[in-house]
Amino acid sequence: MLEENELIMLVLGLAILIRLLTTYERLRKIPHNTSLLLSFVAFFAATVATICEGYLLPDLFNLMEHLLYMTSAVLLTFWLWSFFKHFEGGAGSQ
Amino acid sequence: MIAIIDAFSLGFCCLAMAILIGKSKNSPLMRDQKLLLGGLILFMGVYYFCIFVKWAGITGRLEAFENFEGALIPMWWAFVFYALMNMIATNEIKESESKYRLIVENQSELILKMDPDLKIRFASPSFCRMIGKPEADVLGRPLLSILDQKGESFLPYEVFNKTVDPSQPAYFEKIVKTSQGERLLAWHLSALTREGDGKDVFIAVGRDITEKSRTEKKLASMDHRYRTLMENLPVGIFRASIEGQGRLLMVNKAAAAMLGYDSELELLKIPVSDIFSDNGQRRELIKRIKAEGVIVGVEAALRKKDGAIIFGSVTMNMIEDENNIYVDGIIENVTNVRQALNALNSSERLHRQAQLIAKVGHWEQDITTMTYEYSEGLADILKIPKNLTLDFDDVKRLIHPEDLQTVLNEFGKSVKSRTEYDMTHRYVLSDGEVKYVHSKCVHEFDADGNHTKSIGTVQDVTEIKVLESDKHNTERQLRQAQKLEAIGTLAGGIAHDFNNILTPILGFSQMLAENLPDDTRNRESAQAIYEAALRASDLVGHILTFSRQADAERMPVHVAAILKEAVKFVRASIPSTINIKQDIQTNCLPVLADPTQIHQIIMNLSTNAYYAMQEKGGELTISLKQKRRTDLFPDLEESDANGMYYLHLKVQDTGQGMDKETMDRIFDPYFTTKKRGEGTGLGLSTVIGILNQLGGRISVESKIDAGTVFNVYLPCMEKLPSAAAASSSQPAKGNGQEVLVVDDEGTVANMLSQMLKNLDYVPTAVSDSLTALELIQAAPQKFALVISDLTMPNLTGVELAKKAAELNPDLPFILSSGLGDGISGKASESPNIKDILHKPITRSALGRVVNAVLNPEN
Repeated sequence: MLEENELIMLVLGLAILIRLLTTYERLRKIPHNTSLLLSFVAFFAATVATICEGYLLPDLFNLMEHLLYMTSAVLLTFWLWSFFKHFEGGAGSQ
Repeated sequence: MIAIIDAFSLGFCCLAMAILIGKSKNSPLMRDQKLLLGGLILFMGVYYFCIFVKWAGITGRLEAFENFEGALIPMWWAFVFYALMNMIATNEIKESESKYRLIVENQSELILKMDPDLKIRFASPSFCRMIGKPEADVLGRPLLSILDQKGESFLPYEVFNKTVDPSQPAYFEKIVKTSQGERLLAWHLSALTREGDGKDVFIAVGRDITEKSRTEKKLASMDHRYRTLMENLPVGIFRASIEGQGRLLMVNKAAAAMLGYDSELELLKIPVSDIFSDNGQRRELIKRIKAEGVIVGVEAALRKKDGAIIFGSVTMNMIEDENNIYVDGIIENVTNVRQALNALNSSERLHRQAQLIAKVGHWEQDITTMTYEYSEGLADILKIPKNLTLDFDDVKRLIHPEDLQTVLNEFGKSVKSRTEYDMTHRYVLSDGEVKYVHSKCVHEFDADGNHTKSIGTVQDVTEIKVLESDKHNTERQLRQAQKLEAIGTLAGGIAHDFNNILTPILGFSQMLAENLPDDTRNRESAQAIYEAALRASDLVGHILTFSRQADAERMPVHVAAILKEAVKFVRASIPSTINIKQDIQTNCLPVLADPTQIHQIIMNLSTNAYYAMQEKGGELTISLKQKRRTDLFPDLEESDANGMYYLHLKVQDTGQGMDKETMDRIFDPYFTTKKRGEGTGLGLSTVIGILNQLGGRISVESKIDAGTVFNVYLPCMEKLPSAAAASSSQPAKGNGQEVLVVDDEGTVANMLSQMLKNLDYVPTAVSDSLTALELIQAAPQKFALVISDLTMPNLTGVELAKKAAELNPDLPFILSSGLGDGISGKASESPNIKDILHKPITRSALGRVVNAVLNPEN
């Protein structure tokens, strides 16, 4: 069953994703943007997996949901570390 | 399992939060951006905590919070992305600002941003540096308060008074006082622009053009000077195209004036082809300038406006740009120079010719280098190559060794006394020829008195010297001739008297011998007297011959007789160490010649032969033979021959002989091998001259130490003298004709009378010319002939003949004289003088002449 909060997350995530795709050229200027974007994509995929588990293969999609949440957290952590490292090395002055 | 995964997720969120907190200090993230990012991590952490708790089974009361959290997380993602993009934009703006600031701050132009009321909102560092104030003192202050120190408006008010459209950019230049002194600034003022904050601003960009302005002024000044110079230059300046007929693009006043045009504009309308007198030359010049690029100083004939031709020296430089080829050049009028040059050349040519004619050359000596420059005239005189530089040794070698010391001494004296050097000396040329020169020179000295240069002339006076020598010789010969003439006059006088004395001796002794019986001593004595008188008569004849009393008229001459006389004379003159051998054919035909000249030929050849044998003695052989022309000159053309017969006179000696070089020159006048004073060198040339007159020839053969042979050929007369007249020894007798004999010497008159009587004439002898004239007047027809002495008191023979002719024009006269052949001219003074008798007169001669006069038809 599709819950209300899941629907809100899906709509908001989809809108943000579309916005990110349309402004991709500007996002590319963010240092190590790939990790950040993949983190968001993993978060959005986890939301999709949450909705999917209500209709089919609930265990698998549930597991995928949690794994994707963890992936998103890992990628966000990796981006943060890379981002700050980038400026520590003086690249930020470029 | 799920719980463990969530725990890891939560752990990573904690780690991310730790990184954010620990590392964000040195990042470009702003505070709000950091908060947003932290919020996202926090929300994600809380969310993962809630689902961890749920799956860990610890409590289920957080599910509502989990759902709330989960709904907010996407929004936080959106905030984070927005913040990050904002950060990127900010960074980009900063970078851009930094870049433009760098440009502005390093720009030499002054950049100002001002409000419409001219308050400065931005000033570039270059502006601050220029006015010498920090940026802080400038910003916010009106520009005029900073720069308008002289009470002048810095910016034109009209720009701001809206008299000029403020939306349009403006440009103006202004001198302002700066920390570097007064500078000229050029300002570009932008149109009024509205900034993002809604305020209107001007952007003013100023440039310091002080140096540029000065340079431009300098350039303008130079341009002005160049134009002034060009206008006032005396040479024509032009620029012209070269295609087609050629077009003048620029000319100056001088060019127009040179070609006779009133203005440059008038000249500019004329095609270049019309200016060149010879268009072929123009085409040639164009060809050359295309090939070489530059033509310098080519002379061209140019046509003036009035058609007159001038000559210009043209120098051109080809200029080639993208589209055109043209020439820049100058023209200098060289017509006068050319005329002057022609005049100079003409003058120089005349000068050279004058030098050549006058045999004068000039030279210059550079004392520093001791070298000599000389003219062509001097080169001709000294027979040295032209245009060489001689050194002192060369000149010394040319001067005659005997004159060298004198020349050097005189030259040194003239330098020392600073006077003109002037002397005559000799040069010895490379071929050994000696030339006399008259040399003069002056000297130049520098300010210190040092001798620097000598300039001199040399005149060839060899001919003058030769002429002087000739003159001297001629004068000597003249004196000799005068002496001879005096002797001749004396001899003539003596001969006259002598002949008068001999005439009766000769006549009476002959008659006496004829009247005495044969083989008696008295007859022999009378005959001896007659022969002695004949020899005396010959002697008188010789005296008259050698004293040149004889006429120089050509007459039939028996060379043999003259030759015999000459041999006698030579024999008496030369020493006995020289033997004379003669072989003379006496019956030769006569030669039409002057006996004196024949004598001269013989004497000259004999004298030369004697000279050749003077030292060692020898034999002089003189022979005369009559030969046929064809035997002598088989190669001679018939037309060249003077006659059938020639006399061959050979004079041979056994003396020292001559080499070929001497033989080649022996007939040259003044050539002699004799010592000075012994010969004039004119002997053989005189012989040649005489032979040329007579149509004769001469040849010479010689061998060293063997002797010399001169062969002289004289043409004989075509007609032989009458044999009867020449050979008759019996005088022709008369037929009782009456003959009047007049001679102031009574003895001579009586003797002639006796002779005529013996010749069967009827003579009347008188010793006075006046008496004779009276006799003729008394009976003009009585006498068939008058024989009169030439020289008599009262009336001479000629005067008597003239007066007698008035009485009887047919009365013939025979003049008698003891003056020899010198009186033959007297015969022409009166037509009735028919012949002349030379004293002493023999009976045969008297009979022959009287008979010839009375019977001319015989």
